[in-house]
Amino acid sequence: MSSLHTINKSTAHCAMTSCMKALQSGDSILLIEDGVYASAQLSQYNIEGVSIYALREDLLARGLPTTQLPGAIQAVSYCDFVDLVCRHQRCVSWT
Amino acid sequence: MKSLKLPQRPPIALDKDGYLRNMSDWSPEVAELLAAEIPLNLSAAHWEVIDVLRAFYQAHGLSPATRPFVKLVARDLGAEKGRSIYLMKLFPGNPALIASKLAGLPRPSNCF
Amino acid sequence: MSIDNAKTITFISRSTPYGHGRAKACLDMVLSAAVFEQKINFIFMDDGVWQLKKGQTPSNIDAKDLSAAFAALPLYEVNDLYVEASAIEERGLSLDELVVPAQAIESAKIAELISLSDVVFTL
Repeated sequence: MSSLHTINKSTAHCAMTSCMKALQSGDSILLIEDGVYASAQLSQYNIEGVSIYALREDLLARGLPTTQLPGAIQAVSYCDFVDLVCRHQRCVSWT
Repeated sequence: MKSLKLPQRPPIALDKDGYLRNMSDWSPEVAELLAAEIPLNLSAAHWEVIDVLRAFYQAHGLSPATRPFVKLVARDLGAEKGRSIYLMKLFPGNPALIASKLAGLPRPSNCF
Repeated sequence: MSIDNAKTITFISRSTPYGHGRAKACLDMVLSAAVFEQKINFIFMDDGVWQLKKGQTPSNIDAKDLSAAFAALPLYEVNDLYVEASAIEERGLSLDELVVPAQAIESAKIAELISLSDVVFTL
């Protein structure tokens, strides 16, 4: 019963820390909009069994790298976003 | 803009559905006038429901939709009265909407 | 009237009560969902716990008292109210300072409630 968690705020907001508290193994995180700024901090968390993605367009827009991202964060396209939504039972959007 | 006209008083503003724009305009006289437009003659049985609604809004700031309305009447006036059939006879049509209007409350949202 | 295919909907309210519409919007969504007889979990996380603080008099800032509505939730059959234990603690609040009884839960329980929900809203 996995969830896809989207985060759309930088770490100045508590969206990321709140999301961290609500995770379960098997869940995924997708960073979108200003959430992509959280990729460095997010990689410091060692979250067992949780895959982390960042939306490529939002990374590019902000001058952030899309390859060799910190941790095991993977840049994904909008199509992958749709695919992720379909592969999880529900979406939780942390704003 | 819709309004309600009382003798020797400035007209009272109503919204597009005929609810009072300002709760402070409410008085039993206003309720009678609103009821007359339906038309409905207000009896003691109507007034006790109107009083319950006004007290509820005062306490919680909410206009209850049908289900909470029926439960509210059951809680405050007893199970005999807290039934759809009883309220339907008092306020034919949509009891939650009509009673809220007469009580001067805003239109309950999510109530059809 | 009962709806056989009722969903479990979890609302996570994380915002302070005034100065924006988020807390009010979340409450309105809860009330709407309740009218449609859905199974509802109402969780207060982060700054959302401030919504439940006793003694609010928002008439001072020309705002409507949001906290008054929480006591009416049982009439809407919304009975599962939760607060994040650490959010209460970090803000120097205690459970008896809340306008309604709510169950204090740890974050693992929040994760579990999410995993048992059909739909989750955070606001």
